[in-house]
Amino acid sequence: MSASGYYELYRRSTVGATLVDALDTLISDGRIEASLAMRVLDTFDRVVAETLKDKTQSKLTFKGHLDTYRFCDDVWTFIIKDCNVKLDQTEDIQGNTVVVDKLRIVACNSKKTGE
Amino acid sequence: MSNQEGARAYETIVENVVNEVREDFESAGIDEQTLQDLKLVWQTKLSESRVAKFMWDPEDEGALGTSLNNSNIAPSLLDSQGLAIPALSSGEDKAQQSQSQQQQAQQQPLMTQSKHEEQPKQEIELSMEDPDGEIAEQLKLQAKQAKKSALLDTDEINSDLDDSEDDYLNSSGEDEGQDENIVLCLYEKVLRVKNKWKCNLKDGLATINHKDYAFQRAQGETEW
Repeated sequence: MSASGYYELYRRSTVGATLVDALDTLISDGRIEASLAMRVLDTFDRVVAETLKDKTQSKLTFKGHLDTYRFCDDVWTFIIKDCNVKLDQTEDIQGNTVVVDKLRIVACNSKKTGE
Repeated sequence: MSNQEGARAYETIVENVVNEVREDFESAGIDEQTLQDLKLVWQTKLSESRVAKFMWDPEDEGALGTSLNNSNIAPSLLDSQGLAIPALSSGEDKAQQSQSQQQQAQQQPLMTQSKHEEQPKQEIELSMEDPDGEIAEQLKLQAKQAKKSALLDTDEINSDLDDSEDDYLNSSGEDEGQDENIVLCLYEKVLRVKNKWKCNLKDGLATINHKDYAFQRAQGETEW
């Protein structure tokens, strides 16, 4: 958890990793200080948490064979093999199913987040 | 499986982050142009990741499906900025260096010219499909080396923090790994009865088969 009280977990997502890359570029070019980049990432942690909480409606369900489970430092990690993933979107009724060989889930405790 | 909501969530995130750090930029004495460049590079990288279709994606999306193609993403964005567009060239060897340097090339014209002369080859715009991630790995290495040389050039950067960010990415290993399906989320409940596991999750971002999704809730039933 970052100093601001939000998980840094989402920095691993595509939207987070691309931001880290973009900030790295600006730092390498000497256009911003690293300290400012850290503040941007702190803001990112908060904005992602708020956006997911307030702006999303989809529901995801999955079924599969639990290959690995781990609970460490209040973080659950699951590796699910032969996993059926289904996404139901309210606006888009065609909730299709996708099958993946392997799905990794990293989940932080919802009780401790922000606010 | 449609991932429109994921795309909308990412768009909201980009917009809100940029707006909310504006004050930080101002108080650090950084101009608006730099903030806009950050946004532009961020959006371009998201488009290149192709995890979703974004509203800032270039129009000619159809051309992006080919195995190796001159990307129009960066030039079109450059156009909107009124910047000089370097001549395009193709070829696999150039492609290898180009992706890591694309963003640098994009910003080069905005910077002082002194550095420009040291890195004369950066004005190449290309992108390519890289399904097995091998080339992406090479590019990452090259980007890192380019970064290091940049760090030597300019003293005003806090290189420790910069490196630690890289380590953060590398240590987590699987992020953006092209082949990994990953869900990042919060858990509410994890229940186990014998070998059956049930979990209630929420507020998640998922990358599944190279597409990104956002979800409010998720429920899983698995057997160990």
